[in-house]
Amino acid sequence: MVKYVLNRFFVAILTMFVLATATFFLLRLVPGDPFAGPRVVPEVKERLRIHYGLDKPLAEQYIIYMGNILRGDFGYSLAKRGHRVNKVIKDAFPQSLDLGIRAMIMSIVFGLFFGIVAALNRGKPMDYFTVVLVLIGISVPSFVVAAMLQYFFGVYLKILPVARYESFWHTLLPSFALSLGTMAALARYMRASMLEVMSADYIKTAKAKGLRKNQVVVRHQIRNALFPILTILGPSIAMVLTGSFIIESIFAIPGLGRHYVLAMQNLDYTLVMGLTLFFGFFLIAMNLLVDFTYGIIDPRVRHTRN
Amino acid sequence: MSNYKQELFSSLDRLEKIESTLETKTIAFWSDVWRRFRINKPALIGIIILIIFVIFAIIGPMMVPYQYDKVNLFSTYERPGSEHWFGTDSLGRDIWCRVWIGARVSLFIAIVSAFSQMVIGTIVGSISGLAGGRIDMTIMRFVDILIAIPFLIWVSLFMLVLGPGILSIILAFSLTQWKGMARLVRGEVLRLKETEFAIAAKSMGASTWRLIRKHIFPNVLPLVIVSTTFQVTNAIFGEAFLSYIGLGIQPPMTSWGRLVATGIAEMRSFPYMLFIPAIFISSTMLSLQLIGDGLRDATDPKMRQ
Repeated sequence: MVKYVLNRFFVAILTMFVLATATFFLLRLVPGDPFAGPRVVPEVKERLRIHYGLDKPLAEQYIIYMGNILRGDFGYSLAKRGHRVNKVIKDAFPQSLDLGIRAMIMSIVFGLFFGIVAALNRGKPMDYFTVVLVLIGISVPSFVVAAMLQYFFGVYLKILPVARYESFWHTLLPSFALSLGTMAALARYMRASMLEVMSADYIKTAKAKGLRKNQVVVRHQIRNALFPILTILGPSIAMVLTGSFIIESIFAIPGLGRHYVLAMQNLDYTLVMGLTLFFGFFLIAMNLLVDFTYGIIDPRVRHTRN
Repeated sequence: MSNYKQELFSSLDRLEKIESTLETKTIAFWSDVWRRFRINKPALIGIIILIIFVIFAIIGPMMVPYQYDKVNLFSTYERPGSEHWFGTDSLGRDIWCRVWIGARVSLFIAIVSAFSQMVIGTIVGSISGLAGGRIDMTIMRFVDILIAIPFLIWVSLFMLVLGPGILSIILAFSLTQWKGMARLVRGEVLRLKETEFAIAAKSMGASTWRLIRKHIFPNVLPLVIVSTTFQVTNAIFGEAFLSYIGLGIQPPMTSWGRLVATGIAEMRSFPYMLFIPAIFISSTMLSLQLIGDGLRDATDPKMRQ
């Protein structure tokens, strides 16, 4: 187990290092000038370059940059004057986290519910309903869903707020739009997993023992069907995170995703770098957590992966 | 072993010829796949929808007397009707025309980038799986690292560097999206290398190249095709995402992603501008999903009846 944990940990650190390096050099290749503007005279531009350390040789910039990252300092935003990247992250993260957690809860609860119900009613209307729902959830892009929801509930029916993130009612549409893809994926996997477990010998044993149907379903079937679901929890976190780029932009939620999209539009290198690394760090940490959880739950994992 | 006769054994050369006479035709497999695919109604409907879209992408813009980029300020925001079948946008451009030009762009990007991801992924995956050892480990660690970061983040970073445009999008997808395919092909090659038929062919003197061509490649192919179908869906979504955030297709050129983005901005007063491209993009992704599911079921030996 210790070897497994150390191995995963090492890969995580390596991934972070590669991501930081790739981001740094990719963004240096970006055409365009962050200080461009009709009223910026060359002297001012030069002073700005010196101020932000962009006049130093690339290797030196890289070392300074990596050193700062190790200290957890992402520097200043180029486009938002006087804003530290750390401050932007600190201010925006709570909204994104809140939205992400709501979306995850929604997708897990509804995804598992539909998956289980569909499997238990195989071939009946409820099953077909779930299959159609899953197909729509997987194939309709999140921004289309978000825009449609916004139109019907916000503009047409006028029962929910169109944008911003202030009260519980504001959170409903964005978290639902964000959860739909993951919800569909979870429902699909759960249905398949339940159907597979259904034909297992221990289910027959449980039935033969004379357990009631509910007991068989809850204690044996659902519990065992849940294990494989854990494996898509890592990817789902990534899905919710990248989904937030669009959902936050559409609903004008001042979270990390929206800042990321804006930073890319403004060529705000430092903010793009800071946010990319923050996302990367967050995801890698989450994946590590999921990996360790498998290791604890399923002894086969920690032996085979070594 | 002491009293064997030399003439009972022949050279390796001739044995290889014998092995090639033992070949079975792979055509049987594909006709079987087609037979099973044909009875899958949803997948067939998906194919029909896609074919219709492709035909209209070719002839659609020619069916109306307008151009996709022709500004007409006397007919802005016209609702769908007999004059303009899908209405017009804020600059009076015909949306029917723009939808089909957008279809050309979106489908072209999706198909070309899915194909190049397939080629790169298959090559890298095969090298990794066949070489094994240190090469395999290095490649797979690299793939692990790429996979840990979501594709939208990689693609956005590459798009910043490459600048907007159709070619940049294709390049960004091809450079970043081969990793899943590589992992898939590598796993399959590793498994196939150890199968009895591969070992049998090897012991009969088949060369490595022959082994790849005749025994490994045909068996990897179905998986690769199924996975490529899903990659097309991903690429359509990716293009739409990039165009939505302004890193993708630039005006006056258009794509489904851009049309949806414009539609979102205008939906309060002119909802048809959102609904029309949204319907096209969604039904294309749905069709591809159905085709992919159908192909997966049809090529899965476990599903064979």
